[in-house]
Amino acid sequence: MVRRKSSLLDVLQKQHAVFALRDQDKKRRTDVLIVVLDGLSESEREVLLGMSAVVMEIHDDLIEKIAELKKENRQLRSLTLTDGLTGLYNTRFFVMQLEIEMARTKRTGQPSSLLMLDLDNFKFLNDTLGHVQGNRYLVKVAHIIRDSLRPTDIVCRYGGDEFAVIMPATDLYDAVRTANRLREAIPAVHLKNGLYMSASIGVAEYAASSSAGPEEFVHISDMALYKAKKGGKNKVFYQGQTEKPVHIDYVTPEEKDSLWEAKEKE
Amino acid sequence: MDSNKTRVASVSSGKGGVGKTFVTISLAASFARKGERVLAVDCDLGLANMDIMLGINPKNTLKDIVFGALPVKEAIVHTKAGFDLIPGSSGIKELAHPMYEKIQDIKAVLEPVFFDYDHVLLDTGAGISEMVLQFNLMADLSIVVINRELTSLTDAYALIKVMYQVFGREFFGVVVNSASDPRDAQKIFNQLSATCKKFLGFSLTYLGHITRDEAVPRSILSREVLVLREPESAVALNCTSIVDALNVCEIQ
Repeated sequence: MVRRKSSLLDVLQKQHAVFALRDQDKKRRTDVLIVVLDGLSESEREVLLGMSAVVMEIHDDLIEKIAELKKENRQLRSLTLTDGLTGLYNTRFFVMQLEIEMARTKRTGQPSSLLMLDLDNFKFLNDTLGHVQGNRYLVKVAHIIRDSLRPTDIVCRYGGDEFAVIMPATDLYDAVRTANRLREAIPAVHLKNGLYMSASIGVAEYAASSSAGPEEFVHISDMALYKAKKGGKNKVFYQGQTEKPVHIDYVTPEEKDSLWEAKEKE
Repeated sequence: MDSNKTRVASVSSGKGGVGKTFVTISLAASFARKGERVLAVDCDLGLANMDIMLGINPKNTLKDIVFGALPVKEAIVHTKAGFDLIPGSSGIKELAHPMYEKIQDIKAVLEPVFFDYDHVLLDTGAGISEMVLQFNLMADLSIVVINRELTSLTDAYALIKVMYQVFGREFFGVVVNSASDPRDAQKIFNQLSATCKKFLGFSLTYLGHITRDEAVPRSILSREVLVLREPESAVALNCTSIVDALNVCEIQ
């Protein structure tokens, strides 16, 4: 009987006929089942009544309306362009907007730039302080990025701890300057074992003469980001930067203490 | 002075607004007062301002040399302060953030005229960009200008550290700008030098200080060279002793 019940339900669900309303938590027994269906035969009706509280028969057009609503809902969901946690644009929007900006560059001749920003040692923060703290930090960083840039810059959450910024009508020089400012604006959080949370940024420019497609554009800035990471983290690297990635430690907190020691005593 | 004894010094600060350009102009004028042939190059190509500080409106700049194939000598301005200047150019983005190869071109174009001078001072931009590092590298001596602000100390240290880690440079001369008194200046210098000794393994060379004086911002506003207008002022005397210190450490 149980088997029959579930198989019938499966069939009905596949036909999008059952909109109600089993408990999502499968562990709990379903108390109320409402079946909405049209064109039931007497025997089908009886079976359904045996396992549900109400069987409603309705007209075709209502079913169609509900089906339409469901479809619309799906479309609306797909139109959601922001990231739930940070409120920044999501990857879907990023992909759409990148193509728009590249087309604009082709049309106007003004270059656009792309920053890829990745948090250094974020995984370590997540592992040691937990995901709640991790998420809190992500939100904080997201706000800093958004507030540090111009309203025309498009800030997207690109993945877990990766962010992408599309900078319309911005050349590589300005983008690198902005990237450096951004890197400095993100507060270094001291984790354990001398590890610091900071940001690495890769920068690329799309010029009107470029033949690269969107994927390649993203790839180029990703490569720059990779170099920034490899070059010692907490760095900005740009496309075409020719010198070998060298390990540069920025001023460490210990060095700062030493520099500032006497001044603070004053 | 013998032409093969040209001394090239870069003037950097890491942080902007520390007085790098003021120091460059003052030192260039002080060298000139001693009768030495001096060339100052404004390498701050993103936001060049040496010409503004000197009240010059140059026809040609470094940009025309690099991009317009102008002979270097045609961009040289003979200033009233007694030294020659190659002006930089503001807002030229290709120059403000040039790629490595372009920087090498700039160096190659500039170098031949250096031999006409006893001293060359390269006013680099702020920050620690490739451009700043390369001009530091081009110089025999890196002069680092600091003041009493913690951010100035930190950025100067970052510059020194990068020059050391990337190019192995261990010799830096320090000028403390807008110091309240010599003891204060020495203290600020000691802090930076001790930190370099502790973490990088070498000390810095103290070149001297420039006293804080309200006449400095006034002179900048009126576009006059203070060390020439008031040669007996504390600032002018400070600059003379820095120039003497430079001559000493350049001989070494």
